[in-house]
Amino acid sequence: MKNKWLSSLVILLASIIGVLAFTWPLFISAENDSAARWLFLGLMPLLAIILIIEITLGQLDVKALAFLGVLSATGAALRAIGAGAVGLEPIWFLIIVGGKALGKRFGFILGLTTMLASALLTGGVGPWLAFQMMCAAWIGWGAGALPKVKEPLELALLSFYGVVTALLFGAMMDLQLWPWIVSPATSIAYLPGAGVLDNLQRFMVFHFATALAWDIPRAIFNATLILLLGRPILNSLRRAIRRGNVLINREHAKAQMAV
Amino acid sequence: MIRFNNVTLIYPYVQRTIFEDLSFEVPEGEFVLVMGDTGAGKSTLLKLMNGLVPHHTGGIFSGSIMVDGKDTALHKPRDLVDVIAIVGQNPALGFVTDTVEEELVFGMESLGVAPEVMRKRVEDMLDLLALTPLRQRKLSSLSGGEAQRVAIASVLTMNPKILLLDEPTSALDPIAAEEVLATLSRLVHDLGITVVIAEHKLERVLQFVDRVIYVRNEREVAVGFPQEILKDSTLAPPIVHLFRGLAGEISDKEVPLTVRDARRQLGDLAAALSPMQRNQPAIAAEPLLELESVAIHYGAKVALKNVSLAISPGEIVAIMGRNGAGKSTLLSSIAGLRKLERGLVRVCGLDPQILKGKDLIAKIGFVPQEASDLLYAQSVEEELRHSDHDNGVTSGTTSRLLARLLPDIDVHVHPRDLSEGERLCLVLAIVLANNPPLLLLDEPTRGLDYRAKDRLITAIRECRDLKSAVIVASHDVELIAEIATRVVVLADGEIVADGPAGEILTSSPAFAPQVAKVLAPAQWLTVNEVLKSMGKSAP
Amino acid sequence: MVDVRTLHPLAWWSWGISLAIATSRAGNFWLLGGIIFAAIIVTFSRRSDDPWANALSVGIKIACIALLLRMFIAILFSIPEQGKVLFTIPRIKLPEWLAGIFLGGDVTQERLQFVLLESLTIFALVVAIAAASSLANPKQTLRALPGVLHEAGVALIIATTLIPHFVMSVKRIRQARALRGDEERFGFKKTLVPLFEEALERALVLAESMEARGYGHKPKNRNPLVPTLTMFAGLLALLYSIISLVIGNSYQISLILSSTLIIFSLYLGNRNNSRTKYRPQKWGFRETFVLIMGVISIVVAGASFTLLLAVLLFLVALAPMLVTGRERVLT
Repeated sequence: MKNKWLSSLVILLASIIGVLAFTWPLFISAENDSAARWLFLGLMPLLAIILIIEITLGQLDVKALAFLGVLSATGAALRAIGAGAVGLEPIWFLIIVGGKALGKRFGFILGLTTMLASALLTGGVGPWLAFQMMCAAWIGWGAGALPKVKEPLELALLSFYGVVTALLFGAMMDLQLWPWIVSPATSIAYLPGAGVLDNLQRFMVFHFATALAWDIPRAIFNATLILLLGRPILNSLRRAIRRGNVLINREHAKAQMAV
Repeated sequence: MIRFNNVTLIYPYVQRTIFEDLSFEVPEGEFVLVMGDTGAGKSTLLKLMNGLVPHHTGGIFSGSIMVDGKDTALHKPRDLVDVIAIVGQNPALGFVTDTVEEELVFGMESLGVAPEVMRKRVEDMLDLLALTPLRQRKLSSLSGGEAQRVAIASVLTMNPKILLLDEPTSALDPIAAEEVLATLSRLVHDLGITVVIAEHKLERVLQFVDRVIYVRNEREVAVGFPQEILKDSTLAPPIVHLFRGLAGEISDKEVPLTVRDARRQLGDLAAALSPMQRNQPAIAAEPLLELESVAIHYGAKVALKNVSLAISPGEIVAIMGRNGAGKSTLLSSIAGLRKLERGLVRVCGLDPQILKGKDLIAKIGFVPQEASDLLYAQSVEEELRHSDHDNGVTSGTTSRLLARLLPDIDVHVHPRDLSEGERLCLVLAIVLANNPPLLLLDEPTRGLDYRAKDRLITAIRECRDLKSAVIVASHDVELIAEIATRVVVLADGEIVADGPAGEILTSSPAFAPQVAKVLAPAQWLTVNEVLKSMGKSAP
Repeated sequence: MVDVRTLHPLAWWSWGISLAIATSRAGNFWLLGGIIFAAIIVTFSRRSDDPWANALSVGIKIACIALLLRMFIAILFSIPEQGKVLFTIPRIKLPEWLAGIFLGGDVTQERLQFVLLESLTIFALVVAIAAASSLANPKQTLRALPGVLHEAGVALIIATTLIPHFVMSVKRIRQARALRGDEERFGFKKTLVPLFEEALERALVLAESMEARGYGHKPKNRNPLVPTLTMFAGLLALLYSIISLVIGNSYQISLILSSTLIIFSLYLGNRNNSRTKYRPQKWGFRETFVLIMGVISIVVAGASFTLLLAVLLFLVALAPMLVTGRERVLT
């Protein structure tokens, strides 16, 4: 158990560094600006690998592993079929519902592997991949960490979570893109040493100008999918957990027995 | 080798006792068959033997199971791999990697077997199971029989003393099944491995086995030689039913298990029987279904080649042929699900491809191989309600139909928690609710025991009596012998034979039912036919 | 299992990542052009027909979009400066609270050149990574990874193996919907529910099959506490280093310390692994050659520019062609 605490701390620490890898343009000082962009770009894949190792090493039993593989494949298959335009991907629905049913630790790793598997097979590998994986992991973790509420409320809460995470994901990906896609010679680029508030204002202009067109449809899509399908899919997952007796961790098992 | 001491198993979530106070023993080095009704717990019994139950599925367990001197309660299945190995019901679903060779080494890699040892064992297994030509193939490209042999090889690499197989031949065509069984028999005789299989299709396996475990119910399990067990078991292959029906006429009291034994005992009788008179049903002039030189390709592979066929109301047509011969493609093109390269299909004079939605299901009822694909509701009750709505019939129609097929079903159950046979009945009820003139069934007997099959047969006959045409694609020769009026044999996408069931079935060695083999050259197909002609009632 | 001609996937990755690093050091059109063309030529002549081989085509599309978007933003929001004015976009007055942000205005030649160069850097970066992922077979990559990643590797192998199956399942299920008289175009519920049920059933079967083949069998149990502790220390150092970086202090020493700790932790974790590999793909001369070419391209890209160097960079980046053949597809 001591080991588990330590491993959770490692995951927390890696996540904090991950957050910094997204948000550094907001408060970077002028001195090290030129190094930061490339350093964080290289750091992110390493962080993703460290997180994958930390969670899988001896912590997942064979059933959890099989679930992980199969759910990642389902997510990636849904993505490959392309159920909609850019951003309208059922993959988020899967990560949120999977995290909810199987717990936060599982949700975290599910986010990482689903993104990676689908990118490997559908050719979406690029410098952005590790950033997407990290976001997906947080979203999966958060879904597992949502408070337990009764039936009708549960779906409402989940779809609200779907809306919030869709908007947040859009903002995070824009933030990651910001130092790359916006030339420093423009008035909406980040300004090293300018202060958080000033930079935030510049970012918001960029964010609204470019990505809101994608984020709102994605949020609506997430929420609709959860309201429409959340119940049967959650039931399927819970039935499978019960039948296969998949125990991701002990607290989660207790919660399952109580339901 | 395997000893059960007062074993009791209860699944807490279904609140059902699976086994109560079982005790029996399986001796070393034998070929053992586990038989019993669907739901009697054959699979569970196998999984108990290597500890997957209860280690993997949960459940309340008492008593002890010793395997080669090791207690399964104290060892997890993963730590028993060098003692006991299991191959599941559909081995292709258990594959982890994607090529044959990688699959063979998967277990050894996790155990940390030295690379040189691995190479040697892989070669041994490739030779033993005749897999050498397949070593670099993708697993998804294997046929059912090949996949079964790869799955067997992938567990044998760990040198187990016992091999468990759950329904190894039920999804295979008769020839592939024969191959797999011969392989298993060789493992028993040459390598001294104890092989335990659970199987419905007794007619295929009885001739190979040394001993039978008969699961009568949750507290009664009989272990004995096949002749002893089959003397009075309710489950029996056609040969045994024939023997029992004619027991008065034969002096020999030993139950025949092979066609050869039966021919020796019943040979004289066959000569004495009056030749079979089968009156062909009157064929209506107007065909219900017409196919004209239909051709379909998948890439370079020919799926159907110049197929022409006409089927009238009241016919029950069986489509037979090897796996991959084009049976499923033929059915789905009749249902309008495939684009034709050439030729045309007409159902009631209409092109099925232009039929959509309710018009389609009003004409054609199709039960695909994966029957569960048609189910999406959260309970049987909800599914029945949807069906009444989809089919546009008065509410309660589907549920009345289902009640006839499955009298004691609990409608609050989730459809996925039903057994395979029950699920098939549910899908059949949904498809038949609006009484379509054409009914298509793709491999309907996979995983069905004799009793479930009887229900299926009744349902199909009722359909025929309502002047529908029925087309069944199946490997199950005994089912086809029972119901088909006409048999069409496909090979490599072409029709190679088309004619009355009696003629076609008795003339082919692979597709002949047991009764036909025993009483050849007379064209008898089923036990009931023979007994009726002799004025006896069916057993 | 592996064709002689296919290169070790990690060698392809080393090549791609080297080109990506070279991109970050290359400061002019010629060098960047050399990298982009070399990557494209190598990939298109050496990639297989597998689905992932398409990654470069997807990458180029994305890179083009990024390039155009970047140019567009740069022109629209540019800060006014001195120079040769090419054309002028009418300036739009923004409200008070958006002070400091310019929309429209003069576009100078110097500005356009600078922006184009920067955009091309991003283009080259995307292309380099996408090229490696087109060429390296992901399944072989997963198999070649060190033992610490084995469990995740198995999950990913399962996932990549199942994806095509599930794509087929979706098609099959859509047909089944037609058989129940369903005409909706997007029947999410009627497609996804059976797909999920099938997937979950499959997961249980797969888990049983893996368990029954000894997966997760742990003979010796070294203490996993030490690698985790080392990793924790390494990440702490990394956090310190990053905070120093962000607030403008020197960060190099702590960065080196943290990478040492992290690598040591991974090494320790890897030692705990008792699994063996069947016929691992060998790292031979050709792989080393590709690796060295990658390193040389990084060095060359950083040197001060001559046209000769650009040609050299192009040739070095192209060099893997000498020792490789077309990647093979399994049947």
